[in-house]
Amino acid sequence: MLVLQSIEKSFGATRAVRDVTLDATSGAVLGLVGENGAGKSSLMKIAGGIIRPDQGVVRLEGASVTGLSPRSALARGIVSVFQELTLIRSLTVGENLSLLKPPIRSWGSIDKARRLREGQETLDRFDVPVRASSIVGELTLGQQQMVEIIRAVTRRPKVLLLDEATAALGAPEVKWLAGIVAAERERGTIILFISHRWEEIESFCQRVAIMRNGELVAHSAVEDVSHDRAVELMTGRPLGIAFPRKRPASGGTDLLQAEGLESDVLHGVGLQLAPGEILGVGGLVGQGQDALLKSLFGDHPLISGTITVAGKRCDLRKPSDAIRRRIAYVPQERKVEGLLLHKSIAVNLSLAILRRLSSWMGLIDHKREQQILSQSIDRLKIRAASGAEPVGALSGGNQQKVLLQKWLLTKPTVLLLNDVTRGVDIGTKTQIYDIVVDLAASGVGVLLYSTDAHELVELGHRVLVMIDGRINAELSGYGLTAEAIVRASIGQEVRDGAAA
Amino acid sequence: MTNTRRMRNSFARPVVLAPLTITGCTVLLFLVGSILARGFMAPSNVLMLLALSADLGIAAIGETVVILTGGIDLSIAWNVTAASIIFTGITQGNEGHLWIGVAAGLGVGALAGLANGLGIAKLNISPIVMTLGMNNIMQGLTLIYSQGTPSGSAPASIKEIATGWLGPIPIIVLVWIGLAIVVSACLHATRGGRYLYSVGESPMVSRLTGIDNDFVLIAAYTVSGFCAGLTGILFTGFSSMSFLGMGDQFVLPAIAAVVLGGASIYGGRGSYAGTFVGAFFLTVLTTVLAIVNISIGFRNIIYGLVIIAAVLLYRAYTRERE
Repeated sequence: MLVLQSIEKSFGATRAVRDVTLDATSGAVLGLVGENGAGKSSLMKIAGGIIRPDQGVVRLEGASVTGLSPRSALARGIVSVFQELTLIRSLTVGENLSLLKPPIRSWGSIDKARRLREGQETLDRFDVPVRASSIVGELTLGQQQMVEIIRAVTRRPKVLLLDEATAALGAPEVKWLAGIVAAERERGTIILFISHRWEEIESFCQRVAIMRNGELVAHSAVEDVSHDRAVELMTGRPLGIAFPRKRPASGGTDLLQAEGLESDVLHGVGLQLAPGEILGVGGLVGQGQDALLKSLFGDHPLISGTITVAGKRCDLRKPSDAIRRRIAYVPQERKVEGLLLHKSIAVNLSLAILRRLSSWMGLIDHKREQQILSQSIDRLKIRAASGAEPVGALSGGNQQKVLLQKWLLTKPTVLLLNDVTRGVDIGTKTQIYDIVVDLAASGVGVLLYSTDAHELVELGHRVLVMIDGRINAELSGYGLTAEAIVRASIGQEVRDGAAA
Repeated sequence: MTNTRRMRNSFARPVVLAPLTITGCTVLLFLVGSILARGFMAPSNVLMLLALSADLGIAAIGETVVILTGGIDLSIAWNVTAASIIFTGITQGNEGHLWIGVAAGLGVGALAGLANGLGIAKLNISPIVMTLGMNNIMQGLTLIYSQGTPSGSAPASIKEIATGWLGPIPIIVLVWIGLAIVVSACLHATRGGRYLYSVGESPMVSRLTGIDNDFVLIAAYTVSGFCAGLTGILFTGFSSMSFLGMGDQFVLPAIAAVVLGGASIYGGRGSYAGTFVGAFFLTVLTTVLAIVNISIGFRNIIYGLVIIAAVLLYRAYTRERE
């Protein structure tokens, strides 16, 4: 039996896991579900010895296995499969499968022929349609995921942790995995399984634990929880956030139109954005929302499709093409995509408007820059010792304000927001909501992607829900509820929902 | 609270601390020097040492700009040599051909830099590989052009700039300081300078802000080639002729000067003021070691240790962040 007792884990100011006690037994696969950021993955990484909890203990068959290194966890039979693959892409499948224990000849050299043969036997035994001699990097993501899974299984685990192992798999492969999981269960392996898809929980698991905001809100047999009840438990009601009142879109000709966008990720996506409209984009993580926003900003190559900005068709090849047409994009990863952490607030704020701030010779008007800086700090209540402070030293919420303001200074007519409130404190969140609603009221069109269904419901006039690079449903009016978004995200209303 | 404060400081620290440290070390070297040799701290000797650092300092302008983008320029060696040999080849010591010679020398350097920039930005070749390859190409072109024996000499006016004095101050020191002021102004007060730092710190943020990363890279390497050309011409004035391999002495010291001046080898952070002091420090160090009269082997070892020690020290300044 694997027991997690009173587990606590914080990352900075966020409490990712709050006093969770949970046990998993062999013979019953435990499903772990919850919205993004509910703490499932953190909990699983704690169970797998990848991260150390702040408090609490993990016990396997009575012995403490708290905060092991990944290596010693593996030695005790705790094997994890994560969303992010851990195969070495430049090696062959066979080499990856026997990475830890390659077949060795008596004088110590690796027996390559045997490695290839045994690798192929393993692949065949598990019905994986892949050659052992193929380079991992040349396989599809789904095939790589399958190799990763069988590598985990061939290590004969006592505990098998599967964190969204089905994310990259199609329907037949999911069925394949169900078979493997069932076989492992019969062998006596303790299995934890994270998935966003309820039907997978129903087919894979006997017990289910539901998490919300780091807390365990339910732990019972799967058949005792209906799908509706699970959605209710997963979404709950966010506490203490006051959303600004929705104001009607001003209407008029569309600011932005996209039709039939096709790329390696997007499959025939279209949308219209009117002045003053807040158009939400929802769905599970990684369904092409990122690509959609980036394609409208000239940062995601399209195979075909048309984009029309303010009535004119245009070819957005690079971000500067979009910026010139007064489109602004606030990226999701502020530390990687948004801000120069070592540079001052002033430098970050003026980076996108330097042309306006400098003479034809390129000399920067420092006085004007300082003015804009102090106005921005006042308006957004950015807490910093001075404008010369490096952005990296600010808190996450203040960094987010700097990033948002950097783009607001470009005076956009279309604002693309890529999950900008994720990992941001409640105070800053409400402030960002107010800013977005005010901007829309002034006629800016806002495309808002969020992983928070409530945010979409409260702010959006309409919400597009994406699955696998397609728009699966468009919700508006009374049909726009958090529950409807979650349902549409997991493909529940494919038939009833208005197809886009 | 204390934790936040420490973090906050460590973000700004190396930019200021590193040039201060290297300045302190230079002063220290002067103290050591004045114990070993009388008059080492005399203003005339300080100016002399500055004059000796100028060519390295000017070559290091280009290296600073390139390292700020997160790259490196190893082609300085033969860019300098090529510029010098073409310069003397065209002028043949003749004042009348001075401007054609200067234009040719600078042009050759800038073209080589442009080629570096195009290869790195457009063909995605790593800076080390591209500039090392360019160094070989320039060596080959120079050998073909000079047929193995460079001809001609420096015109008198270039000799005057490289070795002459304006009142109590060497002209070359004035040239160097003038260039340093222009370069620092460009780096810190212009749009282009901001873009350079931005591309160096994060190509991703820069691209998503609409900056033309490729153009910035190409410009940076072109500037570096141009500076190598200028160094070649000025160094020709100093040695009054050109010779094969004359640029070799600049490559690694130019990189060392940039690093000692506190620039991050990963790009995005640093200043030319730091490089300026770094180049001066290296010259003073070489001179002090020459006075001590230790063998050239030990000299090189000390030289290498100093650079490694500086990198370790600067890393300690920033460590809390990691």
